[in-house]
Amino acid sequence: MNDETNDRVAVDVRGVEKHFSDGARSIHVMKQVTLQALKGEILMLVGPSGCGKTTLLSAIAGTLNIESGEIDVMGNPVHKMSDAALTRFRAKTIGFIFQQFHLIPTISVAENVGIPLLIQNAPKKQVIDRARAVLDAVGLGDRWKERPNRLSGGQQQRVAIARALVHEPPLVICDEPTAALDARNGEIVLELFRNVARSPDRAVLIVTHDNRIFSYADRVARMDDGEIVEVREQGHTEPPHFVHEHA
Amino acid sequence: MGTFSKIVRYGTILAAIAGVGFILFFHRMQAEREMPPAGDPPVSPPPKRYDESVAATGIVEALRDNVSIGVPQPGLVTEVAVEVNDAVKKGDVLFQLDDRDLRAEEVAVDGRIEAARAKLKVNRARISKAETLLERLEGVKDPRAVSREDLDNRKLDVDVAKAELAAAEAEVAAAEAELKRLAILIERLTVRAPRDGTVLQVNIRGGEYAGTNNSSEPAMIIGETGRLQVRADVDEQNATRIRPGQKAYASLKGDPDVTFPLEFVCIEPYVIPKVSLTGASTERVDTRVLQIIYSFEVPSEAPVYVGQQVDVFIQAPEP
Amino acid sequence: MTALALKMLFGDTAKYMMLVAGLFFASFLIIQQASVFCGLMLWTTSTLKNVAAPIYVVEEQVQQVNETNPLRDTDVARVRSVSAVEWAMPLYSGIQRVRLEDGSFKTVQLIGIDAATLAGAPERMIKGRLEDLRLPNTVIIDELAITRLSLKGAPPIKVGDRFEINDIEARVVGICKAARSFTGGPYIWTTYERALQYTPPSRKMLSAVIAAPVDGVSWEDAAGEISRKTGLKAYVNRSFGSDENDLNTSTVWWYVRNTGIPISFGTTVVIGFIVGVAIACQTFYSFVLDNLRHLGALKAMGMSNLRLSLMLVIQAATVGLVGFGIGLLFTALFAIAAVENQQPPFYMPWQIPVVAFGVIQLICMVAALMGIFRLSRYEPAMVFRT
Repeated sequence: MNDETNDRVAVDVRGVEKHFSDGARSIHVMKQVTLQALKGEILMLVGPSGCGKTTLLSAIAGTLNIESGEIDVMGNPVHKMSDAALTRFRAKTIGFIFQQFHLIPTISVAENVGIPLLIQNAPKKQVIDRARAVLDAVGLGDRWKERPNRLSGGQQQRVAIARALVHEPPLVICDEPTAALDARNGEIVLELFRNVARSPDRAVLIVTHDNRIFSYADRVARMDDGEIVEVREQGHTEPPHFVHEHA
Repeated sequence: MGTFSKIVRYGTILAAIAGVGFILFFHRMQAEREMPPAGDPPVSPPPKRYDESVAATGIVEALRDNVSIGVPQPGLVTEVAVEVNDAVKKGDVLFQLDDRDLRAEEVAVDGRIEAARAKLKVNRARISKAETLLERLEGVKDPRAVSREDLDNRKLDVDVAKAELAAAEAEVAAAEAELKRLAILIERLTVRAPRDGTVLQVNIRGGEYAGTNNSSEPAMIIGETGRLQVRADVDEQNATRIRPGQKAYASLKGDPDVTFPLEFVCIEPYVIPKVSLTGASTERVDTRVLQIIYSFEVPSEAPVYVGQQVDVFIQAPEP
Repeated sequence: MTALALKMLFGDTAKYMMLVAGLFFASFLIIQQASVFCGLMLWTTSTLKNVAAPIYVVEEQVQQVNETNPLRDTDVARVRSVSAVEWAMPLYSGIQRVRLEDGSFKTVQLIGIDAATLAGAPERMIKGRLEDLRLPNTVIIDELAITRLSLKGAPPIKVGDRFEINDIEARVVGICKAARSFTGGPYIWTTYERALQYTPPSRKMLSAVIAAPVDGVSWEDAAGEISRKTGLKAYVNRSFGSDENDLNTSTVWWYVRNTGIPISFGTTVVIGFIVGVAIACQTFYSFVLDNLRHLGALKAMGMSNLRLSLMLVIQAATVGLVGFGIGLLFTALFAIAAVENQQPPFYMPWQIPVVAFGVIQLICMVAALMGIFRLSRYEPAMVFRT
């Protein structure tokens, strides 16, 4: 790895070890995992269920302690930060898209989108304005007042995307984005996501086992049994199903 | 958000605010109904004049003991010279008993005096006759013309006549003494005031028969009302604080505004069981009390009557 | 953040209602029962309220106003002899029976006061004149007596009507407002001398001596002085408090120590507390569990534990406030009805709602704490698991 690429490294995972104890048994979930995610790219972390990819994602997001190894995210040594510092780090640096979206059903779409800004104590007016702007970008600008549970699954996913991007984090973490969606919706969302999330200063990390969407990634890291078994460069070719244009 | 949850949300909040309002309203209502705090009694009680005093209840009496006028002997009352409330001086006639029997006797004695005086005259005449006869015999110089015996007889006649005169004089004196006795007896039936005072009670009227039976009520009571006295009952536990001559004042039980100073008279040396003065008909309490007598001038602003109850404050240092 | 917390709370209408209902129930039970208890205790001191004298002098062993050992008549003079005493007057207080014209009997609280000064006379006359009490065979009755002593079907008793107390005639010359007695009998005032005539004779009849201190001497000092000088027990008559030399306090404590009243009311208050704790904690905990995913997501997204805890505290405090407010509403309605009706006893010193508020908020904080504890055990990584 040369210096030029070093500048572009957003996430640097080196030799991370992690065991989970499951009663008497100890499961070795990460074995000397080493991985880099670069700014401007979409990196997909793929592999079968239980291969440790979600654990790795948690560790990168600073929500899980590792036993050994180092994780640097945007120059922050996640592996040795205190809980409070990690909390602040997460709020500023990372945009989250959860598998089940985790939209709060009792507040409006715009309010949901604004939560990351709220966490950073942005003024209320600015929160709503910014949230509506991002909602516009994901094509839900006219539905900002509604409750999330009035929306379809795809629309909810788009709200989740808007929420992940509203505070313009340098790293977006996305857990199984298509798990709750049907195939068509999944592709539509992924495409939108790729359009709005991809930026030269931002790394996007997607965990998925849905091979239909692999093509949306710039690189695909395959994980199996706690190890990175393959990192495949997809080049800068456009993905095959780049057909749906969203306003 | 459904209408129902909206109703619930705002309904509960409104109810809660109303609750605070209502409870404040109730709190004021409760405060208004509360009884006012302790204050002064409607009529202010008798003021305390001394820093340290012993309080007592007292009863007004006539000064010293009242005089119950008795009857010297049973008899008919002919005239009552005074009425209740009359002021009397010592020696004033109070009433008169029937004295006609004594006056009748007086008339008889008068007769006897006249008779004795007539007899006196007879005796005097007899003396002068006997003396004349004696002089005549003594005038005869011739001893033979007059016998010695005749001369002696004549002398004896004079002596007898003189003795008879003395007897008659004694009789007159005796009759006159009888007359004086009767006058005294008559005077006795006129009952006079034994001292200055006011007639408090008259129990006889003209024409009534007045007896001398001790148990019956006196014919009259004379006392003094210009000055009265107070008999104050001091609880035996406070008795040690009492000394002769301590200042005191009293106020009427019914009208605490009427307050007057008292003048020490004496301490009754015998502690007696308290007789309830507070209106109950029977004595119920076995407290013993020291009685102290004070006199006072009846205040001009309000009448004070014998027998009234008073609150007494005696200036006495605390032990 | 506050708005977010509240929106999350109000969004779940069912849980919100349940929380509010539980806390309402708890606060209503606590305030209402505590107030009824206080009202009942206040009834025990109603003689002290109705005969408002600064100092009550009673026999040495007497601890409460409704059960007095009689004094001797001269004790009035002995109290009067204490230099700190401005005035001292006799007081008779006792339960007597009134016979109505139709032959029925009613118990009454007979009060005999000094005829000259009328010290201890009712403070709030509605009808009639206080001074008429000096007329022969007269009494002043309280409002309760109007209903108690009126004959069925006849017009209510009024000034000028007569009844009998122990076979002696009593003529009503006045009607007054009075605090209600513990025994439920109306208060009847008459003069001390007449009270003794109304009462079957016994050796000693003087229930208490009421007194007031001279200017510049506090009630307490004067009471202490009387106790020292006479060997009698002098109490001040302010109101229930911490002073054991206050007859109100002493009377209330006597009832607390010697009757089962506080136990029964205390049990209800404790049950209210337990029910409140149970409902509030259980519901709030399940509310937190329901929202755990969202809260976990917030935690993952970088919301600090402190702010999440604060959100839970705000939610708990809010349901506490609303539940308490509704509890106040129902208590107030009950209270107004009770006071208008003079039944059941109800007295709410300001301390009761304040303490109840504290208790309810405590319950809420315990509930919030349980939620906070549960949330703190929730690893943010778990949001990736579901």
